[in-house]
Amino acid sequence: MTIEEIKSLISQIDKSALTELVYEKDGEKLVLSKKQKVAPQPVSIMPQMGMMPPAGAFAGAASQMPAAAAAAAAAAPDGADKAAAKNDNVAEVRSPYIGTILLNADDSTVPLVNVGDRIKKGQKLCQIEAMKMYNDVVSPVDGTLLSIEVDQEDIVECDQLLFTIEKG
Amino acid sequence: MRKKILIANRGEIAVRAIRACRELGMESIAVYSKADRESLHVKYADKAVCVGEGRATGSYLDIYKILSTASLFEADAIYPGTGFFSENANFAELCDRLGILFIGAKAPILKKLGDKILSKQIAVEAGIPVVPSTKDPVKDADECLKEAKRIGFPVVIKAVDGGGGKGIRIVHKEQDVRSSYFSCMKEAKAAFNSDKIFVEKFLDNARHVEIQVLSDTHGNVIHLLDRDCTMQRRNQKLIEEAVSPFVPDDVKQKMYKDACNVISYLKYPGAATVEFLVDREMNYYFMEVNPRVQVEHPVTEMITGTDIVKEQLQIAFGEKLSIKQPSCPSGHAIEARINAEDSSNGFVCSTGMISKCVFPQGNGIRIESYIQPGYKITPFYDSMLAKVIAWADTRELAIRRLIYALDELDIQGVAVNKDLQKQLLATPEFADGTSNTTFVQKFIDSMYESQATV
Repeated sequence: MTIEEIKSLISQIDKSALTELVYEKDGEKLVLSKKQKVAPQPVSIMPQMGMMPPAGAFAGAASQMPAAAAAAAAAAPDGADKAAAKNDNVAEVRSPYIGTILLNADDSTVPLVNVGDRIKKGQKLCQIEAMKMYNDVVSPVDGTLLSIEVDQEDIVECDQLLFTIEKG
Repeated sequence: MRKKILIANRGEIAVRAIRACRELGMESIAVYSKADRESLHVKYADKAVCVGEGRATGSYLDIYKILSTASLFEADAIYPGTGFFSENANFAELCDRLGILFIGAKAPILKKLGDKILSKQIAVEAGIPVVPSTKDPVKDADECLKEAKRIGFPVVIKAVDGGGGKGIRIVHKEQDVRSSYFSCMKEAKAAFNSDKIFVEKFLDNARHVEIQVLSDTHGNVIHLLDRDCTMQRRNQKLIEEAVSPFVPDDVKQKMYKDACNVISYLKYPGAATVEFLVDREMNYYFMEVNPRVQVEHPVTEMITGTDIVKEQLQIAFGEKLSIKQPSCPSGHAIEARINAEDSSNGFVCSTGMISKCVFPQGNGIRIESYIQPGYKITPFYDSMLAKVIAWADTRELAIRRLIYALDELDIQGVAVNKDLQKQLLATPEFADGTSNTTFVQKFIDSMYESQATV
């Protein structure tokens, strides 16, 4: 089987509902599986505010986070914090202020951070403006940006979820 | 355009203000801390915004957060309620600069009234009797002792900028003056960042009687009769009633006139309470002016058929008072404050999750509260959970109604002071009015002693 043939097969499977293919011929064996393979990419389709996470998008830590946090928050007033603590791998960045979200760097249309970016502890993630005062929101950890939960110029309140970061 | 009111408070007074906004067709914006997510004021407001952590300095008392919420959500006015920013001159001034209406007194008036010596001078200028005291802060312990002897014991050593029961020492003997002076100064420095101290005559056996005043920007000043708040402990009121059953009518009429005079003199449009102490000979002395709504305002509303919070909102937007001067009370009303505290265990603040909460009902019963099952009582705020108010044609029936209502009250998950309140309401001293502002503490001490000797 040539490389071109394998590539073509992969793209066929990608479009299909198949999750696994085992192909065997003349002592050659090819195993193609869609399970647990899509690690970094699905992050980019992490839910915007209020959307459900794609069911079973990936079994990693991040996918269960928003649902778990929401359930815990409904159960107990301080539940959201506990849910975050329960999930050691994911850090939630919540708003310390009330104000308007500015995701872009000063006078620029380029966002300060994008999903998938490597993030350093103390790195500026966004600004929150209220009454012409600009407050930086910085990352509490080193890691990879999993999601941005707000849009440019959203008005946010204290304790509202802004970003999730996979630690490490 | 529908007016938007940001309610910069929590608890039962925030719920109270939301109801007033609804009736006036105004939009209410509530603010809340992370510890108050399950509070009813969050549920009932048209909009609710989380402004920070449980500790009040990081939420309800964070000037920047409250004002940025007001400006982001384009509030026309801020209703401060009681406590928090209600008497904060700096906050009132910032609202002014931002073009947001502060529903309360203007900064210069708040500054004068917040200073206990200045506010007394205002009363003197308005021709109202005041408790004998030093005209200026005392310079040192020697002068404090000299002045205490001149005024005559017992005296109160007080912080000029004090309030909320802090920075007050009652001194009966000459030899205690020095130590009280220093401890009071230290407390005032820590609590109010001011160590100015003055000395005042202490009125033993005094009753606490206050006059509710309303005035508008059109020069109308009326009073809504009086309230008696003699049942208090450590300068915190426990039971309040309207009207005072023990001050004769001719004395009351003079107090009403003086109270209206001091508010006219101040030129403050809004709701205010003028507090007096009344001694056994029925001499009355000015204590202070509170230019805001008081916790115990419902008892006045019940006997006058008024809505003080709605009047406050309307006055702030320049409307005329919608009510006329009442001449006499309609019936009698008594309020019992329900606090989360363990009366059987040194009155420590009781915290925990409310698991059950059934409020009394029936003819003449009014409840002001903010809790529901699932709300967690934290140590961050005032321990008051609810106010139970009973109204009846006569005082005797109002007392009985309130006792039965407290029987029906069923709050589980935290300890509340309802048994103590029932016992106090049943004392002969409360019934016949021989109690004074030290009665509750004496009653508790005697109960504790009798329990200890069993």
